[in-house]
Amino acid sequence: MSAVTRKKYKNYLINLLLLIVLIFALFPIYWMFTMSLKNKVDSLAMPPRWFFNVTFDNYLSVFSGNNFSNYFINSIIISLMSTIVVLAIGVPAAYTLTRMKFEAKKHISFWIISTRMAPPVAVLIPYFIIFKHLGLLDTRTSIILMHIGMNLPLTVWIMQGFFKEIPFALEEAASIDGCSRWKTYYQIILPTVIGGISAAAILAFVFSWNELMYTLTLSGRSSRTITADMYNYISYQEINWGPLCASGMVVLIPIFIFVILVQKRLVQGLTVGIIK
Amino acid sequence: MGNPIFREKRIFIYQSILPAIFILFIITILPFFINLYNSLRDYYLANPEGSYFIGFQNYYNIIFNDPNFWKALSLNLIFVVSAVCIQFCLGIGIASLIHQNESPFSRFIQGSLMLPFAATPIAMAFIWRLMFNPSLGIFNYFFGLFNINAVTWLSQPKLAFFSLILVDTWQWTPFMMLLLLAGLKALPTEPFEAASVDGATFFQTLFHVTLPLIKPVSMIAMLFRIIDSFKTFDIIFIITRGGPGNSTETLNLYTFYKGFNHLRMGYASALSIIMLIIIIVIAQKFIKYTGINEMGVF
Repeated sequence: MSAVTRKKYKNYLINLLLLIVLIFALFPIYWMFTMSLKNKVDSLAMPPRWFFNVTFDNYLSVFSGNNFSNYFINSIIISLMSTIVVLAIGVPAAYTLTRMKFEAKKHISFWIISTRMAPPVAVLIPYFIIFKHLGLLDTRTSIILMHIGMNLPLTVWIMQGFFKEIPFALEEAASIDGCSRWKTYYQIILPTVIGGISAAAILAFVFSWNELMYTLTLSGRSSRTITADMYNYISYQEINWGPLCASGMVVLIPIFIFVILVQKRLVQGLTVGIIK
Repeated sequence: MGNPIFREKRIFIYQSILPAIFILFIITILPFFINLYNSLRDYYLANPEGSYFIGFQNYYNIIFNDPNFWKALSLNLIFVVSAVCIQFCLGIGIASLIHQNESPFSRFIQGSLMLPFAATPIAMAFIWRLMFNPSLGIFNYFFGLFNINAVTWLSQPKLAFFSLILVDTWQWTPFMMLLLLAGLKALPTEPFEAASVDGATFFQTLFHVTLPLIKPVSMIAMLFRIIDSFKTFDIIFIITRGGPGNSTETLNLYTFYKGFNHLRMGYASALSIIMLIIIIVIAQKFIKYTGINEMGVF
């Protein structure tokens, strides 16, 4: 067997293995997708029906469920607001931590990263009590605040990686031209790291959208999100799999759109801080 | 260079960093002290008289009188170690495969593997719960095709634990793989060329060239995963709720239940503090053991 054919067989084998990995990775999502389109009989049929009559009833029942549009709006507002605030606070902080020299720099940097070690429960318990006393328990504000705290360390860490890549020449040129620090920041630095900002924004949005613990505990009837609302389909007697999967798909769709559109940015954001 | 420039710089530093410091303070320092305060009290939410001071009684009870705590802790440790090891091995394997084979197909795979990682855990957890179902689930169906007996995935303690590790691996291996792939791409090619000239097999190259070279990236990726998998909540809560009995009740879940089901806020606060200390100690030991500090990351 010549070296060329051996290489071809090796490539086939690698592609086959990767295909198996891909099937395993995507199968649960595929399963949920098909379940959301099946009627009651088909969805739990054993052996499973690979071909079936497509029905949109499940989606109809999800969209017409009580307060669904409210919950959807809640989800969007919470994730959007927390992302915007996290960026507004985290990006300048990351810039200062990367560029400026001052005494407490290393300590603050380490503190920011080590806040990841705190288990969410440890933050949830005191805040539950605080919010209860402040009457903020069923509001979006409380959840937004929690998400900001949750995403800030990661955002700062990601942006630090991107800021490190900027050459010093940019700032030197700006200061020679007489730009103030903030002006340099807004007009010169920010446009350069717009890629990093979008990566951090996507990650913050996704983590906020997917978050369960705070959303479940701190929300009530008016601030519930569609993620927490999935519990709606589990009643005492049965689990309503059809609408449950449909609402799961609705929850997943914004994420998928994001990921497919911006996956290169996502990868960049996750890896830039680690690879020097 | 004179005073105004220094002053302007200092103002900029304060203005840019203070909001972040403020948020971090109220998210980490403040809850810590509140937890500390509450952990020294008997704080039963349903008690109309509120809380009262009991000193270190909570801590004493947790460490000496509470077998559930020790069980939850050991479950957490086993979970973290198994999950991270499996995810690392799979991650490095898949990353090497993709790295060897640069093609549109492997780029497509890279993109699609983001989906398990980005998919909302609660949604996926429900589907996994269905797939594990003894009579209606897809796994037992496949087993049946090969004439293996149906398995009650979630009703036996050890199996339920294994199922959770499986779901966690499904969800987080792409993350590991992504980091390791980026690390692989940044490596120089000479060692690999030298290895193939010397006639090394795939596995020899893997163990003697690849692994040592990506040690910095792997160690950081593992540190992240270790810290994060201690905090795993969503999938355990949705799929087993703590498992048959309490056989999958990790420390995180145990604290959550103590606080929000049993309403013992004082006890739960003490548990949180203990959990925080444990994570910090483990992270420190890991950093020291693998020498991440010397690699100049932080």
